[in-house]
Amino acid sequence: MKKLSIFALGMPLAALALAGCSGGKGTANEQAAVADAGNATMVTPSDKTLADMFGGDDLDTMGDVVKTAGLDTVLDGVGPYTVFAPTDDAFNALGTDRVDAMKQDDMKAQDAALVQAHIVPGFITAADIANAIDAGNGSARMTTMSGGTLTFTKSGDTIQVASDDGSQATLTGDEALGSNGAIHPVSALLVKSTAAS
Amino acid sequence: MRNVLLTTSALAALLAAPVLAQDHGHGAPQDGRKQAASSKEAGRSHQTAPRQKADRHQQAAQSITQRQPAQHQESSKRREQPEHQASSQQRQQSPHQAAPQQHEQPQAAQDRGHARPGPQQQAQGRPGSQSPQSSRDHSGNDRQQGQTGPGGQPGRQEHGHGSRTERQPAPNLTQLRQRAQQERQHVAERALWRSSQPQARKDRPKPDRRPVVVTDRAYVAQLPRQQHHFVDGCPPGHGCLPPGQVKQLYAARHPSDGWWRWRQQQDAAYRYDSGYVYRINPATQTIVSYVPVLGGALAVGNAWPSNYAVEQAPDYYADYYGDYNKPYAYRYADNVLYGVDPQSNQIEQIAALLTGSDWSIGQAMPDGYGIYNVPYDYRDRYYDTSDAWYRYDDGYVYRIDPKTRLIEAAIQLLA
Repeated sequence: MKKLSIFALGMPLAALALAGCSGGKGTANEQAAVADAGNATMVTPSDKTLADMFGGDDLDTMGDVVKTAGLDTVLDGVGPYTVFAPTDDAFNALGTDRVDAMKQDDMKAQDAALVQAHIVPGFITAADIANAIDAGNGSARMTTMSGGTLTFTKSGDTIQVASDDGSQATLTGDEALGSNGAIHPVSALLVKSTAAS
Repeated sequence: MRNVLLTTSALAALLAAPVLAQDHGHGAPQDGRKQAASSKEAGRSHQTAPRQKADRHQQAAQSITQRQPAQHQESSKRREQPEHQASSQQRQQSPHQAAPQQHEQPQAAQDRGHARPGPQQQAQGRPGSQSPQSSRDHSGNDRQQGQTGPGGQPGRQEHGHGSRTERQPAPNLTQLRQRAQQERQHVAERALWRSSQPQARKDRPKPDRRPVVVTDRAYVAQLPRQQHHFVDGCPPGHGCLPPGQVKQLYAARHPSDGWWRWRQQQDAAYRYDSGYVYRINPATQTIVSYVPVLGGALAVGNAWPSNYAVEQAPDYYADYYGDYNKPYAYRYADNVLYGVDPQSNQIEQIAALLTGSDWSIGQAMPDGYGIYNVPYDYRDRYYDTSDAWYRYDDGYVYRIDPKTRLIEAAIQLLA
């Protein structure tokens, strides 16, 4: 997976923070600062699509799950989406048998539900998340494609994410920016597995 | 008296807010005249068609007041009749059908930068705003047609193909409002007609991927609001499971049962089997209802379930996410956009995952959009400031007032 460095912090999120402080139109200097921040240079995303960026490094399993679910065409489309992709280690924590089962066709529906719960709309960088957390008094929330919500917080420099079913993970920091969205590897699944009977 | 009327008309033209806003560069135009001039200049390359359309609308509006009663009645009937009721021949001959963009561009001006709307535009984006809805194109067209000559003097205007000319009185404020209202109704009807005609997609020119600011909620394509609807009874082709089998299904919990968590309600148990999620009454251990799910019954290669309600997706979503080279009908169910072969009824494409969140201009932004998420290609244009936030969802970028959290405008990414 091609890794891209975090681009200039600042722009939209500094603006968010500014908005939170001023709560109004702000002074001319503030607006100029915001405008300057808005023009901050951002690392150009890869021309690869989200579907292309899975595989390699530690996102092989997520790539397989996406394909099994039949959602690789969606992640190859116009988007944009931001995927919080569990790493291979995160899947392996479920057990090898379960991971193998998830790659079978009879798990298409389950896989689709899992993938939906890990995607949010739009193009979001790690800097966007960090700045939103700062502007949001320590947390920021995003709606997922499964109708749930992901809540982001920071612990030092680490960004943590929790789903509304109580699942928690951390962003590993190796974001990948593509032509139709972003991928952020996460350390655990953001859906809770109930005990099988 | 005439001077009073002219002054009133001029003020009305300046105050008239466009239905769709036009952003040009950074900075908020504070002066209505400056804004109008800027808009006219920036939109020149797109105004050939709009002016023709504005001409037609203005002539129609004038006809209402000048034609014989019979003509007036006929004209009004034609305008009030929804276009989907017109004959196919009329549609083919309609300039709107031949070139939909020509129809929309007078209202849908191209957004050119991160400009804040003027006070009239802001007022228009808020609920309850009843300001006159007149486009800049329209006012510019007034001048072009010579209704008002240099120095604000009434000019001459030709009517029809003959040489007859007559002096036209300057329209008063009421007439301007009526004209603007008629134009709004016409465009709204057209938009509604388009949204209800997904099968006509192949006949439309491929839309451009460029932003258009919309400040009137009537012009924002709305996804069907019926969500997560379970169907009472048993799935077609499956029949009702025997009671013993239901008990087995209820008892056999799978680790992934909770992954459809948006369906979870405490009064029921949810189990997946053979393409469907079943809602089971725990007390009686009987199936209450079912829903086909993505990747299950709603997977590529499967026929659309025969008794599962079909929600046609508005054209905007089909155009934004769909494969323009494929003759699919696009259907929306449970936050997923499907491309379906209209002949075989088979699912051919999973086109998009959507949130289905409710974004309505003038209403509060929905929860769960706390992070700036505008697509990369639009980040240099729409970025958060102390005056405006921007959030992307389901093919639109929305502008939000940071203080009130009200949605001020929707920026559609197709024109």
